[in-house]
Amino acid sequence: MLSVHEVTTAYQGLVAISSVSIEVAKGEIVAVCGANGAGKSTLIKTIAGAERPRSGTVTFDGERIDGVAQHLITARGIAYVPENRRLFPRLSVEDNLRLGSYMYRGQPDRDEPLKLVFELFPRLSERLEQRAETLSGGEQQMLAISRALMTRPRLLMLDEPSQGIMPKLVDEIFQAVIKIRDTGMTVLIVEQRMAEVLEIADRAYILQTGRVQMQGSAADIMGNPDVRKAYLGL
Amino acid sequence: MTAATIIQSLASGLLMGLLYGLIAVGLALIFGLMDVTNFAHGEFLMLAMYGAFFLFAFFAVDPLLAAPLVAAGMFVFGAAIYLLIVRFAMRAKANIGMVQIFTTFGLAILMRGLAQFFFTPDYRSIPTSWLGGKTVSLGGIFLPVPQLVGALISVAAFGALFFFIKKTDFGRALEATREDAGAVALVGIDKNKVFALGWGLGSALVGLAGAVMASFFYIYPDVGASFALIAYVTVALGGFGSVFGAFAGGIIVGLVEASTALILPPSLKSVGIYAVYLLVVFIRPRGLFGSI
Repeated sequence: MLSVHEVTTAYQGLVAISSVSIEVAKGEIVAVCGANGAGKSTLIKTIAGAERPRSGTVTFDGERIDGVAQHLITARGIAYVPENRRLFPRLSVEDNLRLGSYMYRGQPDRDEPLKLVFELFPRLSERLEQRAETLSGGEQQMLAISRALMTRPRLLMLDEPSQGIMPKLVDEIFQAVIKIRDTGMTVLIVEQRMAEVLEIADRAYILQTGRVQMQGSAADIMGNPDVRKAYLGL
Repeated sequence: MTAATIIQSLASGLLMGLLYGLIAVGLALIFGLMDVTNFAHGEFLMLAMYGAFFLFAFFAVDPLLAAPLVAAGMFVFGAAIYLLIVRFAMRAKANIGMVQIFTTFGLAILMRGLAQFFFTPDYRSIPTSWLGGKTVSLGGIFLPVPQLVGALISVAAFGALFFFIKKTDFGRALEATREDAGAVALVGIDKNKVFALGWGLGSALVGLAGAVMASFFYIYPDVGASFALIAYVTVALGGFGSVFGAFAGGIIVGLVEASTALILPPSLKSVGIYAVYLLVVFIRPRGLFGSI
């Protein structure tokens, strides 16, 4: 479904990821792990169109999307939830959700994904009138994922969804990711909390200083003695 | 000074204030949307006044009828200015604030120069119009009809603008872009389209004001300058970027100007506005309804 082929992305001459290749098949949950500064966010931003690769290609459902404007990539069915969530803070929860379905305005079934959203995160339905900025960190993450779901993506990309959230809610969000995948969506998730994310992922890539250091099924990576020592502290 | 003269002055001040609000709101809208101050705002007003004048001179279209046409023309003009000029100015890598200021300031000088060249510096006016020169008496207060209709158009335009922003999808996209222009791509919105629409809308509103004013003000290449100054004060008073602030700020400016004229000689009628403005920025630098 998604194929990133030898992508190099640089910021002002500084190479952040170098010749990175990853594959994501339909219906998978794929995790990208690695330490701070390993290039995980750069990779996901490059796929989303927020950064342009210096070289390499990104293909989604057989079409090149590298160099395509970010809003058009969203329209093609890739929803991206960035690290800092980027909600519209002074707009209500409802307005944030309705902006998610902006592309479907005027269509009678515009709010169809709302059913899934409220099923996943019932607490959002109680806070529709509230401004997004008044939500807790966990609720904001839920809203950011929900807004992304409203765009009806085929591929959902999450950048560090666990960041700044209390552990109980992290678990809730990861459980939601499984349910999202079970509806037929594909998920690419960038995460520093490797132990937790490997529990829900099918496959994983480990990035180190901008390169793919290791890849394989989540179980293989979890079982790898080097990984256990270096990343999982076991 | 009798109670009647005071009421009379305040009533005219209120009408003028509503027009000031309509002149200023486009400035507030564009600033709120993208933090760009359009220093050519007065020249946009000038262009709209000439638009109404020429529609009258060549086609005998009354300014009142011309208003929607002028507004539509100014919408296209404003959107084009964004797409062809401002968009590129915003790509500056360094000193972006200065680049923006000089871009719109340069545009103002260019527009004024072109107006002097093509329209000549002569003072023009629309001598006969449906509204021009008429007054109505409301309970002993005499109100000039052009200003009265202008004020009503202003109220209607503000009403429509509030509805548009709060109740329509595009209004919501506008609000979202104000909040975080870098995030709207996440929901598939092209921020450049929203910016262009914002410039179009802001210019259409000042176009509406210009067409209305064409029936009772002289029209000349520099006409925008004094009104632009009042518009900047109105917007700063009401709160930069706030649409409601422009409405309230306009009314305050109109009332203060009228009250000052009661006390001080007419040539000093603007003193009151700037005094109130200074007072507000000292006490509340972000303006009355500003949130930044």
